[in-house]
Amino acid sequence: MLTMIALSNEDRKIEEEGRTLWQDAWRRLVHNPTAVISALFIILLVIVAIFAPFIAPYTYYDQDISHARENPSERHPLGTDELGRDILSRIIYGARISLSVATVVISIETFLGVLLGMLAGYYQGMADMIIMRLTDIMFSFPSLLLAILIMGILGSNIFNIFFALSLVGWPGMARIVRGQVLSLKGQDFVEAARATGATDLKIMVSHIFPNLLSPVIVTATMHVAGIILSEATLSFLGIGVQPPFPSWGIMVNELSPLLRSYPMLPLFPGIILALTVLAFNFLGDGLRDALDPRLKG
Amino acid sequence: MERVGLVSMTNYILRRLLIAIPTILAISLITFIAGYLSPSDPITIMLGDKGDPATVERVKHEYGLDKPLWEQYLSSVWNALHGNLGLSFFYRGWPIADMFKQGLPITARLGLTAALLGVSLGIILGVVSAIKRGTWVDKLAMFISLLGISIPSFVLAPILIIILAMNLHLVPVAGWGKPENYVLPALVLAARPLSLIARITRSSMLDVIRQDYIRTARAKGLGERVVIYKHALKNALIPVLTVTGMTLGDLLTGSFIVETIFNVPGIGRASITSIYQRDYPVIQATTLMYAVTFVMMNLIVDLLYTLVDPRIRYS
Repeated sequence: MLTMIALSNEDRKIEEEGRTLWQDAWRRLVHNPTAVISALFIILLVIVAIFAPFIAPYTYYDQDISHARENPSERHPLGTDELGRDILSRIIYGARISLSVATVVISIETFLGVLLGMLAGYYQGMADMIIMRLTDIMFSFPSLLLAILIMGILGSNIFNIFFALSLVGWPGMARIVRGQVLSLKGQDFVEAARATGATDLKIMVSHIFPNLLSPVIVTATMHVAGIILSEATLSFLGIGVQPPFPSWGIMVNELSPLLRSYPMLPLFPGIILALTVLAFNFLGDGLRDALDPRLKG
Repeated sequence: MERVGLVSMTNYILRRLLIAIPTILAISLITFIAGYLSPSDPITIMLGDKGDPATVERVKHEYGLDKPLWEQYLSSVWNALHGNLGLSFFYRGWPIADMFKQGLPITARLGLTAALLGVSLGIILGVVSAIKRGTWVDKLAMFISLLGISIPSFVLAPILIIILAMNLHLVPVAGWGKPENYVLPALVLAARPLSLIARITRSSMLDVIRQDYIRTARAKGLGERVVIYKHALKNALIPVLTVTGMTLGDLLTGSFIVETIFNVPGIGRASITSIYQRDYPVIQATTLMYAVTFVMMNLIVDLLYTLVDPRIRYS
């Protein structure tokens, strides 16, 4: 009996040695129910966003005037707003706005953060000083507040949202990348690459960058939650996405006056927003535990 | 020893203030340039398209817009240092300093109420969770704090209005002027700090409870109450202070959102209104004021560390 257990343990060990870091991480991730449910929710949301015109019962601007301001019914599963627009359809189209803002901003932010963080960490000296002082200034001010003020000054349109949210987002990524680069730089494999005559660019791209992927993926996933929340907040305040486009933030704002008579209606877009933010946070937690088990709290 | 500590602390405060100055100047410069680069022209905002050349010249002069850019910036900094924050574009000739005098006490009172609520309830919730670890009390408290972190304030507000005002009739649904009108906005504003503080208090308490000196305190026969509140909590509060410092930004940002939701006549709502009205001097002045407040509050939190943890030295 005992020998059998020992043997099977040994088998498992041999099997484990044959797996890559990513396969290991994947295994840990799929064994984390919260992360799996969150990932499924996000995938569902992406599908809904892409196929919105086929899934939504109405468009986001169709006005069913004779059924305006109604509680959920068979005709309108989540009710209608003051203009008689179908709330479910608007939430579905709203997913497009949330996710596309998130995609664009996280791409710009990650690109800038990784680039500047690597330059600062690798070359140190003057570049490091300038980049880190910039992040200090950005960190000395609450980021959403800065985004609100930038939007206030530049005016509300989708490109300014991209600009404002990317601008306040990159310092967080840059600091994490810089810290990683500083610790990777001193390691033997980088020294070895240098000794074989690799250029700085080659070392950064093929030796340091692959080792940055885990922390960058985790940070980016967490940041997506913040970006979605920021866009919704800006839109709620009336300085983000502009009507008639159905950002979830705008929907909460537009439905709030109905609160006294139809208390459920403003909650629908709000709940979807909260669930989405929660899902990205949980997935980020799960990815962190999976990719870097040492960090597990 | 005492005197050395005092001198090093004074040095530390001075140095921190010196670092704060370039930060605030940088923020003021950024907002100034952004205002200058902004697509709309202040004269058009004030006069519309109908202004005749003489009026345009007069208004330009009144607002100092006829001076070179660097002079405009320097004089705005100089004036700000003397308590003159410039004039509103939208409400022509209205000094922004007067606008602040009306709104600031309201925003500050709301923010302080929320901060007190967040810190006190957060610590209580965290301590109770830690003591009752694993029970339904702990699970409920942690679930509430999870909601507090993930539900945005403009969603939490309608939920609390429905529960506390419309169903339980504990507070008025809307309105402003009476003390009870502060309850809902302060609760919504406090939600995020409260939740973060509850979570960090719980994990910090659990850490501390495992330490040897707590075991010693128990072993020498001290009552559980004394052990928890006198020995454990005091040491568990250091990370709590850090998180409290981090949530100050949430309180500042939250004031914009909460004041807009509840129609509170404070600085936050005034700033959002000034954004709709493209009233740049007001936006710039608000930015500056929030930056100064934020930098100062962080400094105060840093100094509080010494009170909680005498091991921390300023160097």
